[in-house]
Amino acid sequence: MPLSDLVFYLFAAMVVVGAAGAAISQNLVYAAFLLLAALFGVAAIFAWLSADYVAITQTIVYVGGILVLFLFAVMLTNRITDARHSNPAVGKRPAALVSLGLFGVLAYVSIETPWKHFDVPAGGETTHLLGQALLSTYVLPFEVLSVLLLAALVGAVVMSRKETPKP
Amino acid sequence: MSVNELLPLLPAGVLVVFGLLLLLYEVFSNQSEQRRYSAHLAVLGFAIALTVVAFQLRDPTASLFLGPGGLASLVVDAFARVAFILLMVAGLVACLLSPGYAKNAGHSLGEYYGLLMFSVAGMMIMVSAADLATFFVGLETMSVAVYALTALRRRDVRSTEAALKYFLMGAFATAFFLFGLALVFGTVGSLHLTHLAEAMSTGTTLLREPLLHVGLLLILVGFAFKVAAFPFHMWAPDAYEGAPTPVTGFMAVAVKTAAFVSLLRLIVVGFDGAMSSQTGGASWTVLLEALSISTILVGNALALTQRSIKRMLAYSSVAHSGYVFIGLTAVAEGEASAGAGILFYLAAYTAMTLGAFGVLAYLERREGGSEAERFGAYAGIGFRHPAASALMALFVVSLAGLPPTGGFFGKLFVFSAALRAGHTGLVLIGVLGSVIGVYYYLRVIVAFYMRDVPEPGPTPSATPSAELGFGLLIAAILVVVLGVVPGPLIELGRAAIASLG
Amino acid sequence: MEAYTPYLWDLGRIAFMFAICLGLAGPLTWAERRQSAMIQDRIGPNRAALTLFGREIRAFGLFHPIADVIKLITKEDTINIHADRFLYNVAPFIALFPALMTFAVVPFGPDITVGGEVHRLQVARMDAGILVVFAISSIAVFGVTLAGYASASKFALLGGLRASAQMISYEVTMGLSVLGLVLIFGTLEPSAMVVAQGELIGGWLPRWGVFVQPLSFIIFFTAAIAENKRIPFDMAEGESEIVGYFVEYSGMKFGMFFMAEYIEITVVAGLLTTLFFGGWQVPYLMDGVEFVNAAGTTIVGTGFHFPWGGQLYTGEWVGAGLRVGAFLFKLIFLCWLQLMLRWTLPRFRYDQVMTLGWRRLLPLSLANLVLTAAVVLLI
Repeated sequence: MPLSDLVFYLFAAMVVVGAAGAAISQNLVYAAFLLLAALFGVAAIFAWLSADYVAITQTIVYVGGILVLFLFAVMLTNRITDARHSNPAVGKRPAALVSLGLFGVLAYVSIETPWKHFDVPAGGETTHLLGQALLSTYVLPFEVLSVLLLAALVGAVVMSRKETPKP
Repeated sequence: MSVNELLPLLPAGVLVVFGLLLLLYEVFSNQSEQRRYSAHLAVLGFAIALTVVAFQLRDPTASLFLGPGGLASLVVDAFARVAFILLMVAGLVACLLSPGYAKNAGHSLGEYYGLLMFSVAGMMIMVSAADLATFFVGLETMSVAVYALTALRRRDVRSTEAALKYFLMGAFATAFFLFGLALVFGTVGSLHLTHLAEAMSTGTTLLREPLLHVGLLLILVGFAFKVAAFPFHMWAPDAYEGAPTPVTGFMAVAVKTAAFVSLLRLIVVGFDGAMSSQTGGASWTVLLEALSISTILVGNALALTQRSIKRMLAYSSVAHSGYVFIGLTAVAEGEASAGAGILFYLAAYTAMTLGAFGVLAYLERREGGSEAERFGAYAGIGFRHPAASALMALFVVSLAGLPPTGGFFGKLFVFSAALRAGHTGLVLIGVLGSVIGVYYYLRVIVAFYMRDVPEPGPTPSATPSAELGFGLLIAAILVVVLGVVPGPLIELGRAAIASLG
Repeated sequence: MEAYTPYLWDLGRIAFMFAICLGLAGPLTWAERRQSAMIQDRIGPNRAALTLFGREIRAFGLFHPIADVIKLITKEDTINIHADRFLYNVAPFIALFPALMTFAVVPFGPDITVGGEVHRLQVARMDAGILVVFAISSIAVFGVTLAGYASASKFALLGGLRASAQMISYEVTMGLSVLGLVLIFGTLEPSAMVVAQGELIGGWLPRWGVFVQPLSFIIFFTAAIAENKRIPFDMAEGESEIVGYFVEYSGMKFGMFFMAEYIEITVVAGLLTTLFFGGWQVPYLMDGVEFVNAAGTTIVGTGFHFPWGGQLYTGEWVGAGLRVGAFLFKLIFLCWLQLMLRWTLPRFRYDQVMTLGWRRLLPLSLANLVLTAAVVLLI
């Protein structure tokens, strides 16, 4: 097996183990920590595909932003120090059944499919190209995203700020 | 690209600008003023945007933001414009229904209307997107804004529960949708509807690939969540019950309309030719059929057993999704007139559902108390609030699909198109569902008019707001007009479907 | 052998980077203690001594860092009974890792040509290098937060919470403040930024970040110190209140947190040098300019061209040496400046830290960004 394939499988395993652990773990802090592994592994796979900008963004947004907020929220919850059973799982068997079924279907399908191959550019200025694409071809989704983020921001503020006294 | 080329998007732009204005108004207005003009500002925004669309209605199809290969990521055609009108009318009426209610619940009004306008802008992107990536961005803009809207009454346990359920289920659906997108991209190599259509047209080997089908299936699941179709409807009753009532109306109507209209575009443009049975698309029609049958039966059966009017309306809206799926099945078979029927149905559904929830919002305010949603609590309401009850009767009759209302013609157009496509069995199920529907819808009228008044009844607690009355009036007029002169709208719908090409 | 040369260069670069990061950490702890002593009119650490040939060498307490390390390594490693052992043990590593990694994108010298091949004096040259800094440094939050959680101590938890809140808050500001520079230099790549800073404004002022974006410099410096949780932003530690997220740690695990702080000082200094003080640029030392030598012939090469007319040819190698030297000088100066700040400024209160971050610096950096964008657009 070539070295680069080995690297891929290593990170893929990291993603799978991290994600599975995050889903199964009973302890919220551990779940968040394992999610860190999963998200970091995804970033590594992006980097492996020479999409270094996407890899970096993935790290900044998911690892540095979202996951930190997760941890922060988890630590603000009650009785965090004995959180070992704060996340009890219910309906394990049906869930496992459905997941395994879906896994079977997807595994079968992805083995059967002749995937479309794209040439992976060897390094190069992906940042520049992405920036150009985002501000020309995809400027509309890009701008709509700002509305989306604004809506999310407003929603979060509305939900978390002190309530104004009723008139 | 010059500014003129962006004019077809002006309505969405107007909504976003007014949303921002509302946020600023909220910040800078005097506290004692109570921001009483928020609703008016929002209504003004919708009115301006509607006027713009009305002027542009006959404009030629505009393709915006050309990407590689000269393919537009956004297509504002007659279809999109008709959808714009539907969505904005829903937004406008929802705004009118809200003020008294929102003020009573102590909300931040600017944010409320701002989020509402942002979500409508997102829906407009959804219905005009010609590429699934753009579509997804619109979908998320809509969803996030509506999640926040459902969570506005955060001191209320049920509202919080509703918001959480809706949010979690919505996020789950988004994950499915996104995974589907990834798989489709993996097989087709593009997310543009034109490329999808090329890939799926007769003769390509792609269609034999299971991966594409799994991807499309996951996308369909995402849609099914948004419209609360059968196995994915569980969130609907709780979310509808707990959310602030005007928001429930908006959620039931606008989100569903946006999802169905864009699904219609996806099927007509993206699945072009793939649905006919020769190319292996038969399984898709079967799937849509199964969705519509199960949704109709389950929705109606569960609506029968409900004791709360809001929950009953929630399940009945599940059933209505099923009726629309009948139309979609026909569209997938190549019966274009079903598309016009769906648009008509959605218009009628918008008016009558918003109206029904509006009356509930009105009664909640007047009667007070959170238990007011039970059927029993409405005993004798018909005599205490004659006007509101009469309107409720109208909306309920329309929801049941009885003439001379919009609901009747909506069902008629959809069912007759399905008959032309040869789906007799499906139509029979639909009619059966409607008959069940008549029973539980009439229960509302029975409760309103034919039960003894238990006591003198509580005194009205708040004065009705003029805006609410105005909103209900618009909804009622729409229901009646659609029921008496359905011609113009169905013509518009045909033109819209024709513009999809 | 030939095949391994690129790897040798890589190893050399990495070794140099670690030499800077780790090598400065020890002296910095000494400098901090000596300097604080001077500022507070004390003698400071001077007891660690080495006896050589019967003579006691104290060397101004320079042996203290070594003595400290020996003490930390041999100390008992205690773990709280209720602590989460795995996370407790892993947290110091997570804290130290990003501190060591971030320096990878900082260029410490110009590209040099050896045997016809161009070699960069920078560990990792990536297209979006500045973003790498933010990506890696955002991982640091985890070390702190997990340490606070895993210690099973209320003070540690408080410290962890404060630290994570503070770091998230200032990360935003920090990122926004750099964007102005990105707009001006048109690149996200640190070495390209340094090259762009070699130009002169009006023929005499080096186009350093600090001159073109002074506001951005102040914001970035403030945010960076806050990220490093040092006084005046030491909410996470608060020596007089809660001691901080590492209160339960002992031995070398505490040492790793301690080291991470001093390595981060170096990293912050390295980033400031690269972004705002022209990196390895020496003012008026330029490449590819013409010189007339004593014999009257014109040569093209590296050397000084002073705005007042003088010129001095240095050649590539001396130029490169001067530049690496200039980088190290700037680096050490900025490290010293950070130590100075710590001992001369009073501490903020927690709410003041948050107010400063969200309500003062963030809008300021946004305004700076918009203004810069407008200026760049118009020019």
